[in-house]
Amino acid sequence: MIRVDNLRMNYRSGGETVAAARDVCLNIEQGQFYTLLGPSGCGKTTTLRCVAGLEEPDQGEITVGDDLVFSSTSGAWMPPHRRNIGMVFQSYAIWPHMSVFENVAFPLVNDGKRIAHEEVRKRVHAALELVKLESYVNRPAPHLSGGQQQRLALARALVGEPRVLLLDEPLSNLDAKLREEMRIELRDLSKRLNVTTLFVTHEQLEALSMSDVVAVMKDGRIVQSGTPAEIYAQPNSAFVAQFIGRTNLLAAQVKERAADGSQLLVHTAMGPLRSTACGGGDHVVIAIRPEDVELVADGEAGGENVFEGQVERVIFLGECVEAHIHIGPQAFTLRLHPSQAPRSGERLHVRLPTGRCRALPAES
Amino acid sequence: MKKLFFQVAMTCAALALPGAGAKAAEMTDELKALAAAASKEGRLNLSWSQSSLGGSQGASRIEAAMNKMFGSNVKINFAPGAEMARIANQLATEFQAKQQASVDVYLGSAAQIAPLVTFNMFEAPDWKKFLPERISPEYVEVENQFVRVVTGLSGVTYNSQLAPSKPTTLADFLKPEWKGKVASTPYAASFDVLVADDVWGKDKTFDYVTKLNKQLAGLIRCGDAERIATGEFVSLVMDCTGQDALIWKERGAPLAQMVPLDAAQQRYYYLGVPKNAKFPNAAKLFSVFMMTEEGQKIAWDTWKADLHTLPGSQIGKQMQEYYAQNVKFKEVTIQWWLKHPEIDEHKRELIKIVTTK
Amino acid sequence: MSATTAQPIQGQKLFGRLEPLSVAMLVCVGSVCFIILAHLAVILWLSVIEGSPGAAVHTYSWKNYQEVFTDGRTVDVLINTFGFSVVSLVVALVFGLPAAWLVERTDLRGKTLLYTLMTIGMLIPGFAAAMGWLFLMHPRIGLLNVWAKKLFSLDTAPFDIASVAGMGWVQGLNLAPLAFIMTAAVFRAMDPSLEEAAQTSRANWFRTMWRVTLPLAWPGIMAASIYIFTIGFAAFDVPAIIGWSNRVFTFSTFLYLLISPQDVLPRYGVAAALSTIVMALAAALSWWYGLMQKRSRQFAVVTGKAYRPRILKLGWMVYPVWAFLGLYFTLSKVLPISLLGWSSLLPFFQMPSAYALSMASFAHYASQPWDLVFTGVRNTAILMVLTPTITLAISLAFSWAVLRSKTPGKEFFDFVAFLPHAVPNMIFGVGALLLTLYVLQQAVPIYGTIWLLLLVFTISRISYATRMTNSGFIQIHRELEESAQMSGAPLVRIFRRILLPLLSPTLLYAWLWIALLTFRELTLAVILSSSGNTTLPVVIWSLWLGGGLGQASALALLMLAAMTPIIVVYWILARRFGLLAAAS
Repeated sequence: MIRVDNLRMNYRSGGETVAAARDVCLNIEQGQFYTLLGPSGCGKTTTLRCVAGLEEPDQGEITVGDDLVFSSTSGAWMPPHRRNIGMVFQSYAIWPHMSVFENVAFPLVNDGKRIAHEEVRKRVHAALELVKLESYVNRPAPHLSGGQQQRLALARALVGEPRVLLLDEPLSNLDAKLREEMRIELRDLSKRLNVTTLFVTHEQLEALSMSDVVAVMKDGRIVQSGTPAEIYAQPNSAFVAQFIGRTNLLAAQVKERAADGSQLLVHTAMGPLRSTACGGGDHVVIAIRPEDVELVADGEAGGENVFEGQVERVIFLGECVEAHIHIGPQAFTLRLHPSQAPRSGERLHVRLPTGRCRALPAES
Repeated sequence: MKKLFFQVAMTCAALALPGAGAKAAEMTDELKALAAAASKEGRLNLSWSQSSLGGSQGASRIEAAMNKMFGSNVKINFAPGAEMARIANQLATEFQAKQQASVDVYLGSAAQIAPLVTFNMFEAPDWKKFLPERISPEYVEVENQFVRVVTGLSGVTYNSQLAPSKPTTLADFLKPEWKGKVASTPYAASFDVLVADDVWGKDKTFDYVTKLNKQLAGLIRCGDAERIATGEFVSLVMDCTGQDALIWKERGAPLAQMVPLDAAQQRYYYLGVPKNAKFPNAAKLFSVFMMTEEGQKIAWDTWKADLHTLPGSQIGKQMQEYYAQNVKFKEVTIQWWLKHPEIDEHKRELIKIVTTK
Repeated sequence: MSATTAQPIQGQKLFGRLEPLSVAMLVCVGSVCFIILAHLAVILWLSVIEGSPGAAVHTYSWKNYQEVFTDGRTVDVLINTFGFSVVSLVVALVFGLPAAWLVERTDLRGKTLLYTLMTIGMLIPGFAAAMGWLFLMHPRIGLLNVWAKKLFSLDTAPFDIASVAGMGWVQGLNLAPLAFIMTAAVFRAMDPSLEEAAQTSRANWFRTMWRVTLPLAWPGIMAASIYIFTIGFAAFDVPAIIGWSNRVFTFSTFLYLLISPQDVLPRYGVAAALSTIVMALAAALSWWYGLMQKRSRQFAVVTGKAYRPRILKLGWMVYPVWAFLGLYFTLSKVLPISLLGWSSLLPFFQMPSAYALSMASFAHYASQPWDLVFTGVRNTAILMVLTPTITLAISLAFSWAVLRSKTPGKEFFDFVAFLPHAVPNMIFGVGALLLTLYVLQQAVPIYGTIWLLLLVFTISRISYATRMTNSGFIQIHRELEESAQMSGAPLVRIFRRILLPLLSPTLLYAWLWIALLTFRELTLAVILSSSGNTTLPVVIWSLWLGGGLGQASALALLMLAAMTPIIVVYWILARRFGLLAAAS
């Protein structure tokens, strides 16, 4: 449904040229919920705006549906209002001088085809029902709360039955509880209406819980894309590993490689470690998630990938506890069920299962 | 011995040199004292319109000539000023507020000076003593407060190329060929004298102005004579005094001045030194200089006006020609003005007439 | 737990944080308000006394008002002024508003050029445009009329500039840059995502503009319109030169008549009475203006976003757009400059002809009274640097007091700041003169000096400056300052590190604008002129009276040539430092 090829976009800031997007390529299928995830300045919003047509890229090609909406080689350009898209902005961009009804009716009224007044009314009400705002239909838009405005923006984006829904960090201005609710609602809506959705966020929790595909971006490039499970369990770089969830990163040097290349024996500050191989040269970074670390009884001390550490502090998080320990000079984080919570100062043994250790390329 | 020889030699040399040297020797004691006092003051603040006495450039010229003639050392600080009445008002305001005057010499005509007389705000030196051979008693008015410096003839400035006929009287401008080609001033310049009881009087003037109003195309200032040259208007009825026409004629513009045979006026311009002037002696020296032959020559050069009763006066020559045609000039002096308080009130009415279409 | 609980100091509750800077600003605002009101009070006083202000004893009566109301000319004058103001507003908006929209909402390149051209117009003396149009469209001698009559064998001239509409046309051309700057500021203050949302909601550029941009900008545009409309009352050059030539009087030329230049003891009373009526009107307009501004603020959602939505890609339409802008510049700049150039070569002004050409020379350029010119340049330069700086400092204090402080009655400050705007400079100058001479002179002897000009110029510019700083402040989110406050920063540091940098685009425009307005300020300078404070416009003006249009034009052109490079450099630097972009 959405295809982006070699997107390049620079902009000028204070006399300097900054590359906002570098050779971004992505392919979103019909009905997919695709998320661009990354820290601020990574180019995710720029990419979204290029797809929307609010920015004109310097190079590349963008196709939405059957339309080539932008091509730097052929000079093609389709302005945003003809791309048959719906967009929700971070600030919602609700028009303060119109009522709720007028806000939602706007896309229908502007459409080239003249839609009968009665039809407009029906569709506006249907859209408002979708977002549970029917009772506010005649309110002046500014009288709505933040969460209601967000839903109003969503109704407006969907009323025209767009083929693509673009969402620019729509949840970031909501409070925690509302955000949780809206995550579920948004995904449900997207699936129910079977509308291709491109979602931009810096919140990895949103990305993981809502998306079919997550593309992690950094410095204008997509560094890894895949299903949430893949991204989470198999990050291909220290950056992705750190950005999604929490990870322990251990600098290490390769000692031995297994014959089939699937495992490595590395030397870390804590001692020798056997890890799954995932690329990289002689210097690697071992990534292991805190929840993958196992507590072992003292009896198993000395086994492979077993280390002794001292607990520095324990933080209670409700559904788990986080233990910050030191293994030799190396700081380490574990996540344990509260029933297994150690005490501060305690010595304990932990095992880092080989299958859960990923040796990633050391980043320069 | 050497000293005496020197003095004699210098005196001979001084006597031999024409102009300056000769004048220096002829300076009366009072004048010498005045020159010394002026030099001590060293400066002089003057301000009038750039079109009067050549404005800033005229002032430089006068400064050089005056210092040379009297052996004084006065620097003139000239600021282009607004209309004479404005400056008079400024002086009156300053005087009433008991502040120092912003100008040291006032240049104005009877119309502007008459309202100031009640304030008794001008110095009254014995002008004749400074330059007895040039300043006659009748040149000095209001008990020595003001001395006449030039004569101006009020009339009509018109475009000699575009005029439908050569006008000679004010009545000519009521003729149909002048319709829509006449301009006047928004302050009814020069009609003020006509409206006085012993000139045309109220009825005749009002009648004339009302009829003129139908011929009027628009209003311009006295100093806008150039717009007559472009043909925007063909005549200015009436101008303030006719110098502008002569000045522009000299520059090549097709302007001419008409002194109306049925309404000839001669207005004097006076110099006066405010009591609260900053440099009173320099001011008096300046005024005296303007009465000398050199001063009058500069006045004619820069302003096309000089005092008609002084020998060698150009205006005097012009007036002789008019006398030959039996024209009677109304002499507009300060005393005369003071005797005619009706002028002010009627003038307001006249202004109302010309400013209403 | 702490042993004592902090009690808010009464003063803090009422006025917000009491700090040296905030106290200083409030004192400044209060004293300036006092000065403005004092000036207006003098005018009011003048309107109810009979006779001369300097007389020892005064009688009070309503005679002046009676005279104003019974004078048949008064109604005509007010109607003319109204018509004149409306036409000039419409013309200014016709050129200024589209230009602002083009700059702020399309991908038009060459912004620097546009700003430069708009501001250069301020260097042209007021009389130049008026005389230029007079010579173009005068019913008898106007070039256009002469040609049209020949071409189409007409009896009467088709164009007549000497009408209310004609004067409005010329004044409107002069005011278009102001309309441009003010409406551009309105567009800039709008949240761009509102228009982007429209674009992604199937609206093309026209519908976006019609249904979103304009309705949201409307209160701001109304406010700018009220401001521009009010200028019609104070405008002098155009009504004096064009209007008089057909005996069409507007308010300020009528006032000139009342304070007749040939009256030694001017009748300030009647002029003051008329002015008071207009001041009441100005107060009403000021109140309405405040209402519009408040409405406008509701729609100005602050985002801190540093971009502007490019609703319209011009493509081939660039050509007609530049043709339109080019037309404006030709009419409003090229014409008066050509007039200046042509007349500066002639000993006396004539219509173009072979004979005239034969007399052309550069004599006027050589024969300038250089001493006088340098004095004028020096004084004007001093004023050009000091006036905007002081005015902006004061208006920052005003805007802060009105928009950020918790002082009770702060709307009053804004109201007072706007008042001098509608008072014609002439009457304002007279008020200042009397105030200075009688009241101030003992303590502060500024009468007749350049400092008096500085004082009066500053006060008369505060209304414009506060409009600019107000709109600048609105664009800055309170949170930015509040977070600084939370970290304990004193107000001085908040100003220095946060407010001033964010306000710099606004301050930059406003500084240049006020400097240019000071450069061409004539009426006030003439009223307050004295041998100590001759300014350049006074010199040029007086040269016109003395040496004719030619000499005045030569000087004006020399000044134009000297100032233009400075302005170009100014805008280039502004663009280089990214200050032409939206506040970020």
